[in-house]
Amino acid sequence: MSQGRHSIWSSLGVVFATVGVTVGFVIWALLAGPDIQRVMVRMVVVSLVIFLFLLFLRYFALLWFSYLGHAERNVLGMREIKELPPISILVPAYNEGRVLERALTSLMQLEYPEYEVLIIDDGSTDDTLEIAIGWEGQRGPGHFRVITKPNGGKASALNAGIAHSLHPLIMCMDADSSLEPRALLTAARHFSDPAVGAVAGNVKVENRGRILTRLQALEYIEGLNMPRRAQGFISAVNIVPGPVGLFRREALEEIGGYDTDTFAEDADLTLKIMEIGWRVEYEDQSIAWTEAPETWRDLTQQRYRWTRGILQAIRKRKGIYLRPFPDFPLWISTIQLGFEALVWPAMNVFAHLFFAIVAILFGAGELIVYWMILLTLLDLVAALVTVSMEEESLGLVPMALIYRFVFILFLDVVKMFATMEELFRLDMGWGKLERLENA
Amino acid sequence: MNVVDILVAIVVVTILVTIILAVVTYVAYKLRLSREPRPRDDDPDALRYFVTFDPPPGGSGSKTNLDQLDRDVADMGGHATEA
Repeated sequence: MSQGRHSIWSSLGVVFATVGVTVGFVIWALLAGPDIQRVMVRMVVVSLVIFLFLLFLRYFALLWFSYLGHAERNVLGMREIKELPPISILVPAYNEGRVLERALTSLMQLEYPEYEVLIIDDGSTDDTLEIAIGWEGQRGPGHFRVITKPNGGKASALNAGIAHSLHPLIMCMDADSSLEPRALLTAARHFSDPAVGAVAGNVKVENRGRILTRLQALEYIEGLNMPRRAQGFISAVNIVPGPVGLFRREALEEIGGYDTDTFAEDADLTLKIMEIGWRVEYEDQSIAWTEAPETWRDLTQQRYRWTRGILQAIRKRKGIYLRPFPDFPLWISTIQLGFEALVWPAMNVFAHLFFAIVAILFGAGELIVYWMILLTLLDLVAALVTVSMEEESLGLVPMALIYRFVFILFLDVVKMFATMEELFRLDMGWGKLERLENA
Repeated sequence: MNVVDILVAIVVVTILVTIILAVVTYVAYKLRLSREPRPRDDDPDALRYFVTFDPPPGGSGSKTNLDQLDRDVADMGGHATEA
């Protein structure tokens, strides 16, 4: 039996088992006597309180620390640096012919005195290599070079790029992203502190023509950048994102580059850097624009891969959970990574499902509607605060009305199945998103 | 039917439809993935995901490192050179 068939039947087994348990629970609840039904309604009330408590705690902790990070930056201003060290920019590309040109054009316009661009063709079968070769040579302050190698995955391409690079700072980005002109300048200043090993940039969604991509634009601001800003306040950002991350060469060499045994090489690398004592900071002005998936199916594929990759990275260092000291920021950052990937999605899905079932069967609908209204208000406030902090379009704020009950719930179902597959260690493939080239 | 009843209906239907759509999309994604050609797992001891390239220790970017890279990639059946 091939790996593919094994995977699909196991995956379907996970889905059918989950649906079966849910349906079984509903039938049991219907057949149960009035005493059990009363207990269930009470359980809903208790669950609502616990769920709300955790939700509020999470939101306010993230909002407070991200506000502190934001305020610190506004009061102290940007860190001064005497001399800007030259930077090597690595652009790994596998079949990115349709979008590579846009990424390279953005690199030609960077405001930085000296940098090189290494385009690493990872054995592409389209015209990626030809396009890359057309860019070779000096373009403004940037010197463009091309490396080609057999296909080995993004991590191996980045490792090859690191080996070929020449400069003391290394920027890793994606070929489907483009950098803002000041992306290097703003991130490089953090390295005036010799303890800083990496700086995470700010990823924003470029294609916002559809409701799905506008929801992702809000998610990047509220769900990804807000936590990153909060983590940045304690110099323990747990994921330096693939589209924009600046690293100290010394740190990359010390950890031996990227590992190739997870699907979230960015999370894995960041944790490795933190484990050996380097600080990882966040720079919200180092901006990369990326193309978000435009269909629910592509979004499913992307989040499935992210979730399993993060769980693989956590699995590699699960011992950290038992060692809060001496590196408390690393511990809290890893706890948050595990909570967001493992605990929160499952809690969210089962809470919604449980509340819906109880509302239908036992008439507790009114309570749940008030709970939903409260959560929606909370989402609107969080969206307003975070969108304002990033000086983004206020037109994204109304997306908060359907953010939790449609978008996040959908993603959490996908994350829950991905988590179960990772726990059962089912086989997985890489997959590649369809590029629509309309960003 | 009062406003609260309508809101209850909207909330419950939204939750259930979203969860059902997510499950259906997930199954569709897995079905599509299973139809893509995949290499057979002939070597159980091989890495599960990628071919590894480990940068050699000490002074990346040096001539020694690039020679090592070429040797490693040649072992993988290709060539890694500046195009």
